[in-house]
Amino acid sequence: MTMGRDTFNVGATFQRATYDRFEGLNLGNGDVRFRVDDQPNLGDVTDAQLSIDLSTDILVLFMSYGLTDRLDVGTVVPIIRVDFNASIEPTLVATSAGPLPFGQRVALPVQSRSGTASGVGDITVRTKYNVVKRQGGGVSLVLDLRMPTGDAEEMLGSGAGAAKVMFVASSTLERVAPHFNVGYTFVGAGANNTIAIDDEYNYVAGVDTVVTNDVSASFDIVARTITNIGRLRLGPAPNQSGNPADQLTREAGNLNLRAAGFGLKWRVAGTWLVSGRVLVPLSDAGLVDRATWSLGLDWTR
Amino acid sequence: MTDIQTLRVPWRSVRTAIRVGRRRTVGGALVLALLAPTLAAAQAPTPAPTPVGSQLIGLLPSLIGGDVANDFNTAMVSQLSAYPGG
Repeated sequence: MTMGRDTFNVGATFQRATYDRFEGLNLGNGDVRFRVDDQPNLGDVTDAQLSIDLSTDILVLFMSYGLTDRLDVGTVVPIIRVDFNASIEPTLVATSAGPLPFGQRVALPVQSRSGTASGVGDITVRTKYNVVKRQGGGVSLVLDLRMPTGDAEEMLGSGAGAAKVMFVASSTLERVAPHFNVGYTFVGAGANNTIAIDDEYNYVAGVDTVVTNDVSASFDIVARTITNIGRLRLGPAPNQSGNPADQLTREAGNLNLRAAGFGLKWRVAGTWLVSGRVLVPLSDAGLVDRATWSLGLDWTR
Repeated sequence: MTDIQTLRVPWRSVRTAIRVGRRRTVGGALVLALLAPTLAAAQAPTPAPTPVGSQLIGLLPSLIGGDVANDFNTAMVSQLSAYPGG
């Protein structure tokens, strides 16, 4: 549960995510479309089909130290690179005189934008206290303080401080070690008006199992409910002539994210561990990567 | 038809050609009238792109105008800022 007094752990994990879908819409094939008024001329209506190529590479540096047998402190520093390319294919569907005759659609020139940003993301300071100690398990209380050190304007951070309180319970049954985490994240006021995030509920349930003396495997179900973040739905367009068939509309509400994580840890030498993990979404909700993988290396003294 | 030897054009052929030409002109005018907005729009210069901000958070709004696009951008960057990978 906790590492123990004077135990020191340091490591790094690399995670790559390429986002494929957003709220069930394919980001790469023009599923996402908007009605744009007064483009290219006043009174015109265009149907803009959007394609997005968005990826993040995150190198997470972490360390923790056992201050006492029951208390660990640590920090997590993400170094992030965001690649963002977007293009629209506008199609003229109406002019100020009304819809084009015979349902015509006139393709207009494709426009695109792209950008890259990299830097330190939101740094987290972690404290873990072992409340109940049992042979092979116990219950711990974790407090994560996330600081808004990442540049929110460059999509490297949330722009808001947050505190996550989490109970972690684990046990050992022969070769299998089940674990269960439940937590709540309090999110402070954001400095950026574009980013609208709020408190969230966090749950993790899973098992670790010994495969060989040096290899263990894990399986987790990871669930998050981000409150009041709002959802986008594709629905019928407002009653105006020349609209594309459907429009995205924003609705208030929570976002429920569910994912399954599959991991392996391999002790390569001494206390050096190599770990790999794949996170697979279990629903189309939110911003979705078909498979987010990570690879890590850590060392304990 | 034009006489290939004398290069004279029979009057009847000329009248027929004028009649067909008139019909085609009326039809063409009708088609042009219907397509005028389309052609005008297609030939209209693409609006000057909104100046691109140096910040990624403004990339989509600079590409697409309108409230719906802004909503989409807000939803997407908010979810990205929540570290969707976990």
